[in-house]
Amino acid sequence: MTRELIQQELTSVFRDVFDNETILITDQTTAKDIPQWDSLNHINLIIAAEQRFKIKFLTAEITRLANVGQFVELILKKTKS
Amino acid sequence: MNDFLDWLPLHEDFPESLRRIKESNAPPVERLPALAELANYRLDFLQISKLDSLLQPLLSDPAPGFISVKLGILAGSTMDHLLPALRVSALRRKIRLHCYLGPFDQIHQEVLTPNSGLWEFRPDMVLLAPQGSDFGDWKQLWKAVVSHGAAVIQQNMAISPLRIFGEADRGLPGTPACELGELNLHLARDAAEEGVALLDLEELASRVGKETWFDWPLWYHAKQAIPLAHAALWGDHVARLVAALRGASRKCLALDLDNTLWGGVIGDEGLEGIELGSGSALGEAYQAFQTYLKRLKERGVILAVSSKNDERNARLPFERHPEMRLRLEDMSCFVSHWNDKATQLKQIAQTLNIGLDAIVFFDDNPVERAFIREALPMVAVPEVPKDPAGYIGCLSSAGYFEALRLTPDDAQRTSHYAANQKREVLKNESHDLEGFLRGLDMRMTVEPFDPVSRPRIAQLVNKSNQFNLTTRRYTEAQVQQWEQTSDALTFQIRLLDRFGDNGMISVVILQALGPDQEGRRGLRIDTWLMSCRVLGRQVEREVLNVIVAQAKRRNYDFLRGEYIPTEKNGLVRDHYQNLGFKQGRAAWILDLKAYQPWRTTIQSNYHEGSLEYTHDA
Repeated sequence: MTRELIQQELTSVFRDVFDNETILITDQTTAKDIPQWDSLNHINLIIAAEQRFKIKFLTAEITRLANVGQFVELILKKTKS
Repeated sequence: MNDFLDWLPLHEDFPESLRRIKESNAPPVERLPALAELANYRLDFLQISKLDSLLQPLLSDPAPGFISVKLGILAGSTMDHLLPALRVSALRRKIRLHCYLGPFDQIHQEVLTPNSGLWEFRPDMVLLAPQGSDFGDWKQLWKAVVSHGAAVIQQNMAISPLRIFGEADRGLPGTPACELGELNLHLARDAAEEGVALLDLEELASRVGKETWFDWPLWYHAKQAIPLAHAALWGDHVARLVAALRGASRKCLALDLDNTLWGGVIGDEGLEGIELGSGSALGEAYQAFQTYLKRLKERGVILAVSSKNDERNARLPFERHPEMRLRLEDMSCFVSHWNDKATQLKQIAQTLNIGLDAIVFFDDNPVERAFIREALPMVAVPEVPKDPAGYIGCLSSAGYFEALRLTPDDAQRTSHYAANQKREVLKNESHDLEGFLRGLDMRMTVEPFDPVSRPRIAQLVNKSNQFNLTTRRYTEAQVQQWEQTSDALTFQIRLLDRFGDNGMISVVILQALGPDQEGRRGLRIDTWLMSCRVLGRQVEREVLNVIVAQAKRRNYDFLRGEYIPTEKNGLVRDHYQNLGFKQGRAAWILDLKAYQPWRTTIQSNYHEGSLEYTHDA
């Protein structure tokens, strides 16, 4: 999967989780930019991404995410291996 | 996708259906049924969450046909992520569920503090979901919950697969497998004894598989003990208990015959041609399904036949096939003709005197299933697996007939309904109603509420819709309060006739009013309900005779009755007028001094301790 494809799929995951078809994400997007992005929805995002990309995040990986860019990188790494 | 709710059909275009509801300007009363219909499909957690966000703003508006329930949840783990699935599962059962989620891991504090958030919320039911083996004295908690008039749903523990010694752990005190295993056993026994609804989380975890169920990263991150991926399964199991506590479990299973109870088509292949019983794997699967149905029937589920067949052909296997496990007397209603199945189900509902929403329709034919879902959306229609070996699993996991515990009446109910069919036959033959009623040889016994009958009283109070003057619902704990209220008169009424024991068929609660301006003492009729099985048999007149006699004995001067209309109780609109009550300012009044007892064909007995009054028909 290419980085662009992942970004595209992840956008659709975000739209699903936040139930908002207008959401656009960039590498710099953080929880502060999306009002409903609280701790509950954060876990929902993680699980939705796990299901969509058929991967499983490690405990430490979930903690370390600072922005969407890192999220995409992480998925890229995990879908390759 | 939720693979564990496979009795629910998949939706072809969920986003489109949801969009249509979202963009429609229909008032809430119309949007709620549309959402409830969507809730009957197998949805993933994202779809559930979208449905829930449309549902939430509609929850506070009363809607006809929907029950409102307030559920308090106290847990030793995070539960926020489960609430959407819980509300949607309740909606599937026509329940508007309001949830209160107590602060994390504060079960004892919330229950035992009288003005805690939980009790401010005034819940009808409280779900206790502890985490770990350190749960303390649960009986004390249950007692406290019940004393607030709420029912308890107690969740047990999912036992993690971690091992200390290894295989022997289950028998070694101090290991989690042993501690939690014993805790679960005690919880289950105590719950059965105390009449507490048990939620078997351990069974759910086992069904899903422990390796998937225990998601450790999520536990360490968010203290989520029940995974979001299985929220729908968990929610459905909680919702079926909530429904059962409200008396809203399904009652009747309407079964197709060909390729459902046996392999092949009886009309084409004949008695020798159908596949049933030992000799072939398929035949054994059909037979095992029948054995399972027989168990359901024995515990009170009503079985009925809905088949497109010549009736003679359809009956043949029941009468003559040696491998049949179900016989004609097991089927409370047998409908077999060439009309469509919606007509057949209506006929079943009418004969058995139950609502269509009490019926589950089980048919191997997907066209018939789709037709019923469309024509009669209130009927539950499980997705029947292609392989008959999966029929039992499908019915069992769908949990339509959730029973909190066995009341003696449950076991008898099926034979009541069968006897009802015989009565119908007699009624058709007998032209003179008076003679028919006399021929029934009815005997009524009346007693005040007592602890033994409490569960059945609560059941009747919560599920009687049609013959119910006020439709006031009371939990078992509240029934107990009535029982112990000194200025209340309570009546539980049973009816026997020559076809059998109808069990408890009517409940009346009276409460004393303060003296009026003329100093006259009256009783308010808080509740008067009756099972529709005994409609048209003068039961209500004889009940009034008994009530009046007891009220007079206690020197009351009048009865005050009220009729609170609902969607379903139009039947009793003129109840008080028919019984001779006079229209007062805001209610119906019966002057006891002037009361002339009704002449009925029912012999009645009133018992209270050692007191006994008999009235001969």
